[in-house]
Amino acid sequence: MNKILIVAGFEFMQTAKRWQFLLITLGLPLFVALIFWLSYISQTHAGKSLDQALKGGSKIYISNVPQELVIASAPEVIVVDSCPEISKKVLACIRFAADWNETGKVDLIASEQKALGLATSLRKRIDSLIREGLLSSRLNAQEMQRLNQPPSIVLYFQNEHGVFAYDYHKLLVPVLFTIIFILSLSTASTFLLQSVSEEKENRTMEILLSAMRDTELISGKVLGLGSAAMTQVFVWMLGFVLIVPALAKNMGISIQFLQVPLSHWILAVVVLGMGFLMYAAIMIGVGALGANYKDSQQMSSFFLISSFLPLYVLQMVANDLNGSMALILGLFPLTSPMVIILRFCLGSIAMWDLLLSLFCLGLGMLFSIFMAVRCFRLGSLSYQRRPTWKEIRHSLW
Amino acid sequence: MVIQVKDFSKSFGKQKAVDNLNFVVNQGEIFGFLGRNGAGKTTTFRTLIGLYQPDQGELLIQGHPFDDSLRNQIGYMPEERGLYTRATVMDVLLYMGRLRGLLKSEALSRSQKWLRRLKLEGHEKKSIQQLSSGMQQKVQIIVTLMHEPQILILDEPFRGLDPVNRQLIYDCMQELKRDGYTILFSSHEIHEVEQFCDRVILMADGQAKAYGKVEDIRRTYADRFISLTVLSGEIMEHPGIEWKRVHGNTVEIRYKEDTDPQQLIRDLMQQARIKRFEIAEPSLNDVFLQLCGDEVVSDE
Repeated sequence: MNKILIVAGFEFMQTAKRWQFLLITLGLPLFVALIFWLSYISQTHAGKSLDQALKGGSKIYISNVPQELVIASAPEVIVVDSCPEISKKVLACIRFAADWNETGKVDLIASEQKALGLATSLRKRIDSLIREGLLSSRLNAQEMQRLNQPPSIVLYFQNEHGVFAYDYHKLLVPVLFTIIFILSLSTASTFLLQSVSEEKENRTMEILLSAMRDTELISGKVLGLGSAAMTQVFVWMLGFVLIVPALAKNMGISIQFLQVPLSHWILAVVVLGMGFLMYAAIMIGVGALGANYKDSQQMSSFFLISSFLPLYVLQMVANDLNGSMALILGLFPLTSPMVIILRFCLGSIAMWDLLLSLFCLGLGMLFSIFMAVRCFRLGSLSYQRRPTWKEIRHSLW
Repeated sequence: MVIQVKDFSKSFGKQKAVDNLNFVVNQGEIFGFLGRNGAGKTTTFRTLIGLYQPDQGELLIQGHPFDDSLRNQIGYMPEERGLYTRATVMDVLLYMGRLRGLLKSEALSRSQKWLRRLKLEGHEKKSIQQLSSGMQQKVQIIVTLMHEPQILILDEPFRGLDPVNRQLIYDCMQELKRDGYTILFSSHEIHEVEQFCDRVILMADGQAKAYGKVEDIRRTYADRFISLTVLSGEIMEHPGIEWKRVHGNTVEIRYKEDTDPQQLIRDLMQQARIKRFEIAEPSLNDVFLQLCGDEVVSDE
């Protein structure tokens, strides 16, 4: 155990000290935050600059208004027969096309610098103007207000016990799990492949194997590099945890992490551990078999695609949680981690079904570890070449 | 005896890497493994330290097959050597020392001691890739020696070293021998083996061709060996010659078993003016060529 921890510590520190690691770990959340901030700023800026312009006395002109439209009087809107020239006082002119009834075409005329921004900030206002103009004679003020606001949908579900409000907390663990699983796999697989391939390429492997058992070396690598990957994911998730409630609030959903059932968290940790170990073992085996890093990367792509595969059919699985697709993907170890969590958290998966899926995943994990150790023994000392299929077959059985 | 190899054979597929090898290495001796690439030296070393399993036979270290308890008693330097290129010298030494059972403080003090001894002081914080290949070799040697193992297994330890560093390592090995270390090392350069080793084994095609003290081996193959100094003319092919070797005006000849040496010398004197001749003891190189090389060898 001591040697496993020494290897784990060394691998962790060597990875964590790389500037690329620090850059990606700290830089990615900052980069995402920057994008969110820029997007927010540009939206509010567009709205603010429109309001400022109107407050400053600029007007929006509307011309060629069709007969059936009644434009409500407002201080910033002036209805004219034809568009005036754009100036400081004339912010924009909305001109209805002659065939507006058939095509819905409306021209927006503004200065070259402001045209693009106004197209965004005035879109909603034009939309309301037209709706109100069309319906003003038939609707009262409250109906008009309803018309201009999107409906607020509250989700319920019905079962044999009655009708219940849909609990969005059920989505939290599957969403978090999918993100953590995919992120940790992509980062850890890179670290593991790189580490094993580098030790093969720089010939450190033989010295290490003379000092410890291959199983100790593999375990140390999985532990150290897995921890590095998890540290990275943890930092990213911290950012995510801060952002999710804010995003959910914007969507009218209240998310509180403490309201998520404990069983969801427990199963997520168990499945994450098993799935991660399975893929980590595969990456070590593949890393040892490849002639170099590039070669190992090519060989590993099949397994990485398998891990991402459920993402493409997640909607189908979610729509029919007990369908044949969900059942098959839940039993196949390479695709089961995400599917098990989705089925358990969103649906009512039978206990035998859950246990069978976990059993298959466990079996897949043990088989991967067994294969990885064999492949490692064969490939780690085969310098600059990939063992032949015959050699691999011979070493496995 | 510290190492005992009995009836050891190992194949990779149809390729027989080592075939029925037997030898022992005694406490405190420097034992040389001599052979060309592919002779079976590395396979034997890797099997000794448990990286390969033997197909047949026994490889014993201090009377036991290799197991975890022996790991820290052996210092192994592989032929295919290398280090973490991006890590610093001290990081690598501490890591390797700790893997060999040293406490961090012990690993640190021994690293410093060896860095001083091999004149690498001041390079501790440099990454391995910043060092010259000779310096990297020295770091590799520290990695092998820092846990003070009783048995050293060195696969081609002098490869890639310049003459100065070669001498440094040679002195180091002599010192370790005086301290009672047992050293088993391989080489394909005969003069190294001849110079350093108490006993040797000559390997070719996975088999031991000769085994014992260098002088004994040379003496064994001393018969039917003539050394000639030629004044003029050339020693041509002769049906009585098994092989010959020419360097400058000296010609070394091993004659066939049924050849009369008196008659052979008389015949050769017809071909060239011979200044002197003697029944000489062959060098280890001659023996190696005789056992493992072509029948007639000339390095003119």
